Amino acid sequence: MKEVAIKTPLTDNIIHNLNIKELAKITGVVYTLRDASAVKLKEELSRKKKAGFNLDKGVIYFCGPSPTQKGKIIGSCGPTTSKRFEDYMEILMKAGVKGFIGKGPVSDTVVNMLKKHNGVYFVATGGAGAYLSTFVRSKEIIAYKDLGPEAVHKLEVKDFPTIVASAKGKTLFS
Amino acid sequence: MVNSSKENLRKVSVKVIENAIYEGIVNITHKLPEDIKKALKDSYSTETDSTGKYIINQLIKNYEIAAKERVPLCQDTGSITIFIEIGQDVYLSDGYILSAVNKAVSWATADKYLRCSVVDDPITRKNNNDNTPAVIYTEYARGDRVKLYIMAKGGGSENASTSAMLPLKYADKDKLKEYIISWVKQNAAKSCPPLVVGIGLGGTFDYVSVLAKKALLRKIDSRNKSSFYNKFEKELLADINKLNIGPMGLGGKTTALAVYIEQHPTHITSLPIAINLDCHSHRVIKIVI
Repeated sequence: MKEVAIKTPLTDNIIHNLNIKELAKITGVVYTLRDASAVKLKEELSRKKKAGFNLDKGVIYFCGPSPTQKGKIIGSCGPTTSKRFEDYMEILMKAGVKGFIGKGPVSDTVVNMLKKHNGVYFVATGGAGAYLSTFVRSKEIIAYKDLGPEAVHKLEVKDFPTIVASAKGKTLFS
Repeated sequence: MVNSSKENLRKVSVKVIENAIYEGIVNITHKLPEDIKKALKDSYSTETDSTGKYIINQLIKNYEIAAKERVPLCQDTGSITIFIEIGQDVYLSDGYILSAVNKAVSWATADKYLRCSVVDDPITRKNNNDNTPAVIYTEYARGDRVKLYIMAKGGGSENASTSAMLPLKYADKDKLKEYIISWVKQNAAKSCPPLVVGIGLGGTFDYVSVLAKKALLRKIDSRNKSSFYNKFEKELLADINKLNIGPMGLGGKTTALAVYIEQHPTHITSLPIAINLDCHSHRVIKIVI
């Protein structure tokens, strides 16, 4: 398996060089999103045309971490099912998002939508939240704090292990 | 006439049950059961798909880190289901058992930084902030023991589960197999495979789902009490692992670690089925008091 190290923000050049099945180790900033925060963010984007945080060439991570213990950076923080976010992905891409990290298949509509907006879908290993927490260097809640685990967390990650699951109109799930 | 004498009954304090459930939840949310650990290690040796092997390796590292660092195995620390088997020679003291169960759930959630994953209402959806109420089933048994089966189960695989009242043409092993395989094929990838598959067959519309959940309480080296169903389980497991869904749905022959069936008598006109998928983070513990 080919391994590539990439940094956020995701430029067109970075995305152009990614192919499905490659192991992509992501370094930089990713923003967590879950069902309740997705509703709020979509509403905010349609009202104000922009989010309260920087989505330009950004990466969204479908994840609701478990609470952080004293002395730790973050709790368990694996991906949640991407399918539930399909209705939000295009509006997020129009706001500047280029990459999504989640788990499980996405529909052909999403695969084509990602191609159209030059985006990429990565999968991380579901249920490996303890392991994945070791790649998180910092965590800050930056939107919708009242939503608890569903708030948007800004995570700085280093070599966060993912697999390119959908890029350039191709998908690993077929 | 009601005899108020308690002299022949074994006294069990609900506080002891509360402590046991607290310990059980803490254990399963941080430590994978030994049979699942072994199954993952074995599948690492047998898996030939490079992506599949890579993922299984991450799952092995995950349970090692979770236990060592005391971080939950998965951020979805689950909703809690508890089966309580109460021996009829037991006298419960010091409080109400169902309150004790929920107290333990709330305690473990706050004390061990479990994620609050239970909302108060299916429509208005306000988080209860302590993972209560647990889903609790109580049953009587002979003897003077209290047996607790505690399960912490993630929402993704629960959402990919199903129940149905099948027409009687499905009262045929091959047709039933087709039905089950077809469901697993469509739903495995989003349920964090490799899976543990619990199947309920028979009973009634409501009871068949309980049977499927009960099936998930078994251990990998256990056998179905019926040799017919024991063979059926093995065939289903082999067929599921031929689907090339693999770990996390990215290909490979490790799609399920186990298939368990819980069968039960049913009405002459009925064939209820329930398929309860569980992810590889199969968090179940049995405690006997």
